[in-house]
Amino acid sequence: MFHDRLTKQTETRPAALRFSEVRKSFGKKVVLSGLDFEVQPGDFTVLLGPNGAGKSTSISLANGLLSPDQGKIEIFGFTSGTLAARGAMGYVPQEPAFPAHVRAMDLIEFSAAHSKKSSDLKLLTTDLEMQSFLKLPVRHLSGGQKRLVSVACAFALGTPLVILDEPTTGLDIEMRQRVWQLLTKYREQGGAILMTTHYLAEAEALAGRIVVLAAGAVVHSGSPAEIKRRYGYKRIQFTSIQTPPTPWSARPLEGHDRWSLDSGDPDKALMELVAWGQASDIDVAPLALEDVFLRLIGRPN
Amino acid sequence: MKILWAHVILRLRQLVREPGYVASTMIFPALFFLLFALPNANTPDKAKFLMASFTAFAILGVCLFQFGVHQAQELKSGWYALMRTLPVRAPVLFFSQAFNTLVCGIAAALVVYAAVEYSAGADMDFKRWSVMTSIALIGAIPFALIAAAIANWVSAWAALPIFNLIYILSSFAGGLWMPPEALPVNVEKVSQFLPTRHYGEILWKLALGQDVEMKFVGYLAAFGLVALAGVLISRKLHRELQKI
Repeated sequence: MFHDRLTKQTETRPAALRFSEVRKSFGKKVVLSGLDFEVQPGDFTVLLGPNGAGKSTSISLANGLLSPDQGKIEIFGFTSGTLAARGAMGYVPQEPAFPAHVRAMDLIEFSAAHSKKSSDLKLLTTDLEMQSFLKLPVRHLSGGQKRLVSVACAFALGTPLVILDEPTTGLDIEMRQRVWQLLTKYREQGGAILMTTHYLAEAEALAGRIVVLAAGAVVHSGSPAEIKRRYGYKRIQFTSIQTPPTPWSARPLEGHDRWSLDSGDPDKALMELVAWGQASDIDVAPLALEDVFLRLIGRPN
Repeated sequence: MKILWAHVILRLRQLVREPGYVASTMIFPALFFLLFALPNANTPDKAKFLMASFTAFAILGVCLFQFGVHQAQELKSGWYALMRTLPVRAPVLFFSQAFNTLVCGIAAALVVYAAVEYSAGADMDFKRWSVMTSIALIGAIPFALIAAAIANWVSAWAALPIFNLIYILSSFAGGLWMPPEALPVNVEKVSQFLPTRHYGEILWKLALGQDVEMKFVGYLAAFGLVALAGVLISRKLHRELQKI
């Protein structure tokens, strides 16, 4: 759907999206304090961070709804918010807001009308399995269906970059799968994606790169596997009727005297555990991305 | 042009599929005439006068609802923000809104024309009606600007009652429901300073085939400039506050 054009567009172009030393405050509250990252054509980048980390502000800066106090945001070399930058990106907002009396298909066609090279709308709506409600006015759609309309409107533009702010929140599993497939297909065809999500499993499954924000700056960046590996922690679970020594910071699990501890030096921890002589049924596993994320933002428990 | 057309069509679809809007802005002025003003339209000249009054009332309503209520709701709903992320220039948003206001204004004026002609026999020829309605549409620009300025500051919920209040009070006090000389004394004193009165004065003369006094055109033009300054200041302040 997007392939030929995207290939052509990405051959000589700069980063699909680049944040350079971006600072943004609202009054005295500093929301972004020197944000620096970029999304290359063909990248699927997920922004992660706790509430208030600056994810939504970053998205609003990228789509031009806000302007940075300092720094620069560029979309394919164009300053964000300019007509050229807006012409190179599609945007899926956190909350879909459409005129209630307009039909779903009318909105998708309306969006596509803003592009000289819009997507194949029939294929797009088929991919998202929207045929059953395309002729219904928005006020008759469920929350999930409205989200699909929102996603379709962004992809209808056929732009080489799509920015999505929590696009799958509130979608059932089937709808979420359809969106995932669309995103994967778009990326495979060379499209660049910047997405925020609250579902870490989603980030782990889809993202080529994860950018973790905390207090308005990037604290970690890399593929999900890299982040997990770089962080190096492993989770050790064991059974013991005795309380483990305090320095280990082991947490009790529910039932059967089971305990859990996360260690950055799992070999040493295992040796100490064996030497202690009170532990049995020892399991060692890498931390899930969710646990790594919680540690990265300083909330290990 | 393709983008402008897409915006015009979408806005028209929004309007025609919203029965509440169609009823309140297109039919209400004519209905109001039939219910309350018809007994006073007992000569062709009085009918012409009332046709001008209710045409002004109808077009004023369309402007206040389109640029006031509708815009306030759009600004607060997130739909406007989404449109600002599309590759569309700001004038396209304005002109699509203006075009639809024009279409709805003409439709509302036609309904008034039909109601007055059919029920009171104003005998106004179509050419004179066309001139009067065209001037009424141009003269409504200051009201649209004021509505747009206020729309930045009212919530989506408050927009409808606030603009209804402005609509009803300014129409009544401006003499659009009854001739100015029939207004209560104190209201009549205030009326002379209201832009709706100056607006009405221009249309009454046109309807009766008389010369328009230029002072009323001047008053309305001055109000238009104030309204334009108002909308620019309002937009700027609104954007500044959003940044904080």
